[in-house]
Amino acid sequence: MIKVKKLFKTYKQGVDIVVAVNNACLNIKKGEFVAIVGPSGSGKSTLLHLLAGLDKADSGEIIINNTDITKLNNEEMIIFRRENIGFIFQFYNLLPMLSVKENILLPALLSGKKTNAYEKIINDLNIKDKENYLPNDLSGGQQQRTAIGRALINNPKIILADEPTGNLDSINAKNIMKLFKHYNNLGQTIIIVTHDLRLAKMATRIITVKDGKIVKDVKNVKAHN
Amino acid sequence: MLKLIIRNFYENKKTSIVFLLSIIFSSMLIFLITLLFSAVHKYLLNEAIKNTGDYHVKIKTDLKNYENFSVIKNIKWQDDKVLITYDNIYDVYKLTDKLCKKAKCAEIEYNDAYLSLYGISKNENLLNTLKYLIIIVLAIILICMVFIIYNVYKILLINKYKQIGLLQSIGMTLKELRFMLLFEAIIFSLLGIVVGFIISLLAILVLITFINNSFKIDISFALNIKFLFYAFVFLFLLILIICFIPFFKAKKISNLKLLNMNYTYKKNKSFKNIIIFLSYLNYKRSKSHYKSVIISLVIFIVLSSSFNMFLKYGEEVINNYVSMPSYDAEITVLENTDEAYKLLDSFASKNSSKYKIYETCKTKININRENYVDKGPNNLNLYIIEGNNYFINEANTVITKDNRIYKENKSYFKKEISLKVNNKTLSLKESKNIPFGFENILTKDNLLIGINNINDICTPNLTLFMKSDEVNLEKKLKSLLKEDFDLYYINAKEGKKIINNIILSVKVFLYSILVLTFLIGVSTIISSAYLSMMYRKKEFGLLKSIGLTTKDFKDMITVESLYITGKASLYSLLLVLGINVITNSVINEVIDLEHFSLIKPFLCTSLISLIMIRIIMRMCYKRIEKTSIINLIYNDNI
Ligand SMILES: Nc1ncnc2c1ncn2[C@@H]1O[C@H](COP(=O)(O)OP(=O)(O)O)[C@@H](O)[C@H]1O
Ligand SMILES: [Mg+2]
Repeated sequence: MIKVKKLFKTYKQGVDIVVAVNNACLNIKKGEFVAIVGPSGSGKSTLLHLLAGLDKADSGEIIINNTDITKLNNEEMIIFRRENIGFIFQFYNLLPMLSVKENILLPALLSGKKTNAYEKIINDLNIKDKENYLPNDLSGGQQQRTAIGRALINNPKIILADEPTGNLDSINAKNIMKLFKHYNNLGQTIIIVTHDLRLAKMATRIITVKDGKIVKDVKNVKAHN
Repeated sequence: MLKLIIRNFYENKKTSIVFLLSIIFSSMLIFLITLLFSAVHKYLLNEAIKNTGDYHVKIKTDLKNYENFSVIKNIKWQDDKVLITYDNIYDVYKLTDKLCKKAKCAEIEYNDAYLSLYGISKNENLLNTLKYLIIIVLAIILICMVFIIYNVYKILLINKYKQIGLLQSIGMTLKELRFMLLFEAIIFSLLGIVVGFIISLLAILVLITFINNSFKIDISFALNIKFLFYAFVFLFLLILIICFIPFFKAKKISNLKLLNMNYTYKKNKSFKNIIIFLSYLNYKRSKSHYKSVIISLVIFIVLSSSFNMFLKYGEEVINNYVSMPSYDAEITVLENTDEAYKLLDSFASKNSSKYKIYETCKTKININRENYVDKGPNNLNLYIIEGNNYFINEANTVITKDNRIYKENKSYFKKEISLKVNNKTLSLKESKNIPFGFENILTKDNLLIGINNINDICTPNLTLFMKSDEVNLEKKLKSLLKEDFDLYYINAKEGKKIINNIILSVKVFLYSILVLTFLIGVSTIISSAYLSMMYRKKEFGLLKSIGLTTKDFKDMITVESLYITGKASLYSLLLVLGINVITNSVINEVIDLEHFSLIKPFLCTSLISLIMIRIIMRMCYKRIEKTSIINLIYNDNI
């Protein structure tokens, strides 16, 4: 489903050049629940951003469902992402002027699709009673649920999440992870970045990144049960 | 520290330069106006002293030993009256009262021409009105200036934010950081103010020379050190305060967020179109960012349309009140007149394409008393000129020594009068007023009326009017008449030149004010619109990340610019209507003109604003589009 070949991304920091993603090669199948772990600054976020087409790679290929997204222009990328990818940020990044309901429905409205997934999602996420609240009136956990709802509304093929629990206490973090697990069990492909190994253990596959390189890639058999 | 600031400057070159320019520009405007005012003030003061002297009050009194009256600075005798100059001019009325309690005073005569220049005359106080006008203009400029500098500085800060974070992360305390920014602001403002002052100094020198040359007057440069010092300090502090507003605001934001926690969501109006909905919500949310854009638009629309009116006012005055003599020379020969005029006549008729001579005569006229009940004179000297067609303008424009202007066919000149010239009756309309500053130009001629056959009215005498392109007409005529005749020659061409220069100066002045206000308005709009877009970088990134396409963005910007301009236009309309009513009533006191309507310029400027805002937003968006989504999202605002 996702094929990554020889991916490179460098950043300039003053006179230094930082190689944030160094020759990454990956192959992720449909229905996998992948956790990317590694120390801070190792390039996890950068890799995820590249996968979502939020940033441009220096070289390499990212093929999602037979489309090489590195070849798409900005406009095509936006539309591709809208249809295929749900992205979840660490800091939720909800639109503060929209209510929970509007935030969740926004991608569907933008792509002009009719959807009846909303009721199910909001019940699954357990924020039905908050649907008319503004993000600022919600707790971190509730905001992250809203962000997950927004990522799910267009029924994307892939969910990408960058430290979705990084800002939450352990109970909330666990609940969010359970939600991911739940959707994965329904067949959703999910890739999350985290530095919490305990949470990563809930994934079916754990990829370890260090200094921009993928150093370890293991199946997590326990989680399959 | 200085090194760091210079580094900073290079890193944010563009914005830093714009910031510096905005300071230079603003201080330049302020210095320019104040310097011009002091120069004109000094000129008027000199004129007043020349005309009436610099005493404060003239009294006929029997008081002796004025020297004992300690508040008196200087005393002069003029016939049986005494001219008093006090130490403190502002106490002139109080002190005179006191003085007159001690002694018998009669015929107290205040030197109004002089006192009014200090704004303390009880009578007409033109200077005070002028002062208020200047204060209003200065206030507008100050508001715009605060706006521009504040916005540009914020943009500078936003651009610097990464750096600031970096500096903090390597251990620079907030206090040190603030000190650095303060130091930077001080250097920028000092530099900007000094450069602005120098530029305005040069500009004022050029302007004064130009005015002196065209008006043939002698305005000299006046520099009030004390005043200048105050202006410097004021500007300096103002800029520093402006630069520190963002920091005070930053502190407040956390409180605001707390407040937000209790804010319960109100059901939004539902919109069919998601783009309009987003724009609407965005407007609701970031009202404070829009506010500055709207205010700058209002300033722009109101300023541009009202100055447009001033321009029209100036043009109307020129068109209706300034009449150019159509002749180039006025010739009088006192002795052997007939012989001389015969000589001149034959000289002109030989070369009729080059020289034209018109006979004139002087006569008395009667102004129809029925219609003309004012205190004006009913017996005036009147020049009758031959050639109705040629002097058609003069024939229809009659100007008298008591500052009245009469014109034919001017519907807005209300009062109708008829002039009886011997048996001929001329029906004319009288203007109530003469516009300020035009008295001298208009009263140059006495009365001038063109008539087809001059002999019907009076016998030609004395003065000839001559039209010729000849440069050395005077020399030529003198050589023609030789020493035998005593020729009086008045060069009307010179007068024309002066009037032309005056017209030119007035026009240049009006247009430059228009351009200036336009520039101020435009830069205010650009700075605030740019800032509001910079604030939305993150939002744009977010919307993009969840699928808003470029076309959607373009639509959104269109909707927003429509909304902003619409709102600004609404506010401006109210202001403009108010201004329209007030100015029309004021102008009607000064000149007789048709009612000015501000609606057309208002519509024009509103349209310009809409286009401008759209262009600026689109340009900003194009710049933002180049940045990757991730950079947009993680580029935090202050
Ligand atoms: N926008 C950027 N500009 C410059 N350097 C960046 C940028 N984003 C990331 N980096 C650098 O790239 C490296 C990887 O960053 P990141 O992917 O955020 O790491 P992680 O998410 O694993 O903590 C880091 O060294 C970071 O400093
Ligand atoms: Mg990260």
